[in-house]
Amino acid sequence: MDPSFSNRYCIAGIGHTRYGALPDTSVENLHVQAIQQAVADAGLTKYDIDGVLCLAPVSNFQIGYAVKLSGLLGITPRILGALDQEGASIITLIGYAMMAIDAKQCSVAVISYADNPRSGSRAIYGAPRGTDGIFGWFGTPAAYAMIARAHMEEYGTRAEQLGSVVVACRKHAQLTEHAERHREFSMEQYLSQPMLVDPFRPADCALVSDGGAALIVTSLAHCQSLGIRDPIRILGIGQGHQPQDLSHRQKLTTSGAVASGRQAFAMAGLGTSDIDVAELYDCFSITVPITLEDYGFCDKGEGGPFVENGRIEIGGTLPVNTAGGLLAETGLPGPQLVIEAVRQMRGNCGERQIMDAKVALVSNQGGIMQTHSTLILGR
Amino acid sequence: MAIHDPHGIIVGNIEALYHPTPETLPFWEGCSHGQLWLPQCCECRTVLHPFDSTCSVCLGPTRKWIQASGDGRMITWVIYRRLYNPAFTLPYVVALIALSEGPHIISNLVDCSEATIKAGMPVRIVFDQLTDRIVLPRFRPHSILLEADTYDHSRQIL
Ligand SMILES: [Zn+2]
Repeated sequence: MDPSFSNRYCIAGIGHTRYGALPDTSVENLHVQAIQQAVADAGLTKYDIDGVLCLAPVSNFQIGYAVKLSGLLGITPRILGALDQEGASIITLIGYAMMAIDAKQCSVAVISYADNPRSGSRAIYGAPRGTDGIFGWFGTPAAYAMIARAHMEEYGTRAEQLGSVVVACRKHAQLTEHAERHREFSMEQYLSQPMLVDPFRPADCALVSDGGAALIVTSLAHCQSLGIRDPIRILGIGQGHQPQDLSHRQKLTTSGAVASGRQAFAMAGLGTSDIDVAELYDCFSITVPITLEDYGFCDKGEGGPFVENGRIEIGGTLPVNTAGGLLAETGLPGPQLVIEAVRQMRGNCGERQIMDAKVALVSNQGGIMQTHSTLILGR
Repeated sequence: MAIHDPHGIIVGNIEALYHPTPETLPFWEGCSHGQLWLPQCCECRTVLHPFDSTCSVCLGPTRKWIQASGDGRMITWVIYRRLYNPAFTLPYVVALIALSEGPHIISNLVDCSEATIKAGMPVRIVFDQLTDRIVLPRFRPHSILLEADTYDHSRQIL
């Protein structure tokens, strides 16, 4: 996005439901609860919302979802819409909200997601991949495992390095009250897990979670009149995409993070050395080293060594996924990462707070590493 | 329908996973004759993935079918250690293969011990007749990689 958009918009409120198995609550209820929390967090009421932007439930995709949601909220927003970039949607929607506010189409937008694949159906995550089911090609983990294997073959990335990502996320989740995974999890435990789809073990894969999460986006100019106390400024935003099918990609080990990160850093006028904390879309362990490489935190292929020796743990040189990410906090497709970055910028993360953190980087990613969006926040 | 998979990967009914369409039928018919046929864009001559119904290079409206060598190289692979579908048996290898003609396709790697699989490894197609109707193209290691393009790509069946 053009640098003129930097430092003019903010995340004014965050909210989420409990995460995990929530069999007694409908997705609609989860969604409304999350939005209600975000609205209250911003010190607003639902009548302040004039933009409703969302991603429809991935496990139970529906048309007309933003209209339905507006009806559930009992409001008639000036703009609304559901966008489908799969797991990259939330950050992209933040960018589109900024454009809509700039165009004076709305002034306060809610961006939200809710789903219940854990209590409902998780069939989509194990479905035949395209027309190749006849080759036994099933499930999302296998598709990312193909990418992981390619990275291992090309750059010598090892199981212990994937495990370092898992162990870091699990450690951070232990410091996060609302996270789903609280038990200690060591490298030995990781390595002793039987393979699911080799080279992935179950611990390499995102949680499958019920829950809802929401964000309020507005302009800094609106904050004063709205009485918003602690806006977290949006410094940079970007997106980058690749062909949908693995078979149509010339390179499997590079992601849309290259283009997306370049845009976000350029918009913010910042570089990797300015980042104090990173919340990276870890739907599978391999995405963390690849995203770090593609953003330029290390050379291509050096993501494996980069994540070792506690470097991405709290107290390390670049703390990553400080609440546990998709691997340990909750499996929602992205909003929780933005929410954790906002909390880190507000400085109220308690035990897991990164001291003096002033700039946070967030990645969202969709499908089999085919869509990507990047957000840089500052306090 | 009874399944007799010579490589023992499939043991149950996979009819629900086999759905040739008018646009992919030449590929599957080729397999049943022990031949690999790929679509080629009539406009820009890009050799396409067997299941591509359009050319994403030039958006040309028509394809012809050319016979391919059946040779390729391993790009990457996974080994299933947990079943996703009861018609299969464990373990089995799903591979992404770069065909000599250009397209990358998903298939199985067979006749290969797990420890010897390598990215870049040359492979050659084998055709496994599973039922009267279903012949699956799979790949096995091939020590001598033939020079690509010794095939006559102008042969057409459509
Ligand atoms: Zn063409």
